[in-house]
Amino acid sequence: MILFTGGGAIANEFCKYFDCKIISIRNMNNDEIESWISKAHTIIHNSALINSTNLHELLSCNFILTKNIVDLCYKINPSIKFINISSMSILNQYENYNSLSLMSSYALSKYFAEVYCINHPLINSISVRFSTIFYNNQEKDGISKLIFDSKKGNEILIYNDGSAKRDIIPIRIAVEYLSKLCHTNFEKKIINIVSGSETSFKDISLILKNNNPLLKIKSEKCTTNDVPSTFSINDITKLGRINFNLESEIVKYFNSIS
Amino acid sequence: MYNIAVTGTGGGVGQSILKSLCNTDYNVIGLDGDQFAAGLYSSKTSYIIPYANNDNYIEALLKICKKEKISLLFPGLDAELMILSLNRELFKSIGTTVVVSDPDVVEISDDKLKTYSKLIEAGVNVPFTEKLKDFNPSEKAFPLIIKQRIGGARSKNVYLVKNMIQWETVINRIGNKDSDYIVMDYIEGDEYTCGSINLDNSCKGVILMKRILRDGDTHKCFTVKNQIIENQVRLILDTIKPFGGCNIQLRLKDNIPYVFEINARCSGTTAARTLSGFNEPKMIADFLLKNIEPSFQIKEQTILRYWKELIVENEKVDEIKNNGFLQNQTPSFL
Repeated sequence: MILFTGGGAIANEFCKYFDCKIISIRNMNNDEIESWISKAHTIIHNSALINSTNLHELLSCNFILTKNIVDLCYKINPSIKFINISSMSILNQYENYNSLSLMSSYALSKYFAEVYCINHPLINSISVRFSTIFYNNQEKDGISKLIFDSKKGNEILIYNDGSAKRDIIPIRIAVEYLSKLCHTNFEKKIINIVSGSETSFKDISLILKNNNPLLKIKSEKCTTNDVPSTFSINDITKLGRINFNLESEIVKYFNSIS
Repeated sequence: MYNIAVTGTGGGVGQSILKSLCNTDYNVIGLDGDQFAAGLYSSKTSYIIPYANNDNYIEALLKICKKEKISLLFPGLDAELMILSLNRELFKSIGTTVVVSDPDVVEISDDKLKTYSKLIEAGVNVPFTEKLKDFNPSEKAFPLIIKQRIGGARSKNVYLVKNMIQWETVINRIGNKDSDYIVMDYIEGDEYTCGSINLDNSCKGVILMKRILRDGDTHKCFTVKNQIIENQVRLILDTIKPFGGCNIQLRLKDNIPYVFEINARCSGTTAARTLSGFNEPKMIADFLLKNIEPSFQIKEQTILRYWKELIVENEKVDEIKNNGFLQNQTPSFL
């Protein structure tokens, strides 16, 4: 059994295509957790607190909880595959760890969790970082919000003429990679799941303009944090790259909005 | 004219594929990581490519396949099979079919313990196989074969152990890498290498060759017909469902075939099979590119192998070293 430790968009999308079970591990005691671990061959640890800036709370939910689960896996089922959903927020522009002093509280909590997992004696543990996921849900990410607003005829707002770039991966592709990872012996302890190509918000707004010629695009000047947008495709090549066309994915979501 | 690329043209499998496609109406492009690979100088066009463990391997191959409008890509090295299998769809998207099986078939073939479990499950006769580190030998267990669990070619790191003294010697040589090795019953008997072509999820043909090995390579081979062996080979192929060429190695003892290895690819004996009327690469290409159903007429004969020299002008070696490719060569049969 493939077990997700928390709900959320990735787990729900995964369940649409692949056999798995979602539990809410945050509210369980160790006996309950051990019981689930003993039934699973793969654990995808996606339970995480995102919407907080409180370091204590973030460390407790994202690091201490992860540590506890990894330790229990090692005790109960040491050959289990443990996939820790990490975060790109811990990286700098060069795909290296960012300086701790520059990390947000959330990034710090995910950093400690990742470092703990990759150094743990649990043999089949791997940390996964996704680039910017395009969720097809206007409440989940900025790209979907832009598409939703453009379909609804609302003015869309971009910053600095949309010069900021992202490596965007549709959620369907993200979970397909995750499924491959569940069924492959990946040799590394960390994998970056990315598209391998940069897309600017200006590119996205032009795609939207093509689909809605009346679309009004407003640009504002703004100081933004640099987000890594160029990643090596070596990891996904070793997993087996999945072809997709971002423009088609955007148009598909645009057309699906009533 | 269709273009077909072959990798690993410095090795026996790649060269066998080149030989089989020579004198056909296919234009063959030779690829290898080593500038001294003989096959690079026997194809009309050839390229130096990164090795399969290089991060740029897939990108480099995609670039060549796109530029040369490659319709089929035949892998010639075991190390390439998994990465190519995992990325088949990328090649498909530029019009290149990689003649490689699904990743799970490649994995079963590559891992001798998985081969053993899969074949036992299918009811195939196999020599008893176990992880070396879990095996405690008694005197009556000998003779045994110790070999690498994953990969391995041309009898490299294969040990025939006939008694406890030899066992200790080999165990000492392997040292702390014992988890990389398996131990297998040694089967006395004639050895056979069995080629097959597998398309549209079914086996389209099988050829059997009894063989005599030298340094792990087929040195002398004899095309034979044997329904018992063929039935066993077909049972395996029906079970694992490979794509393209698949090579099965077995030994025959008391008229019972014991299968000990599967290679989900063409083989170093592919050229000898071609000479016996069973041209695996051409039949695969004809089926995939021209929709021609495979047909063959196997001739029972003896094939003796020998070394042959290939003269290469130094300018050509320099050219491929400097430019990464060679063009407008006269294709020559190796």
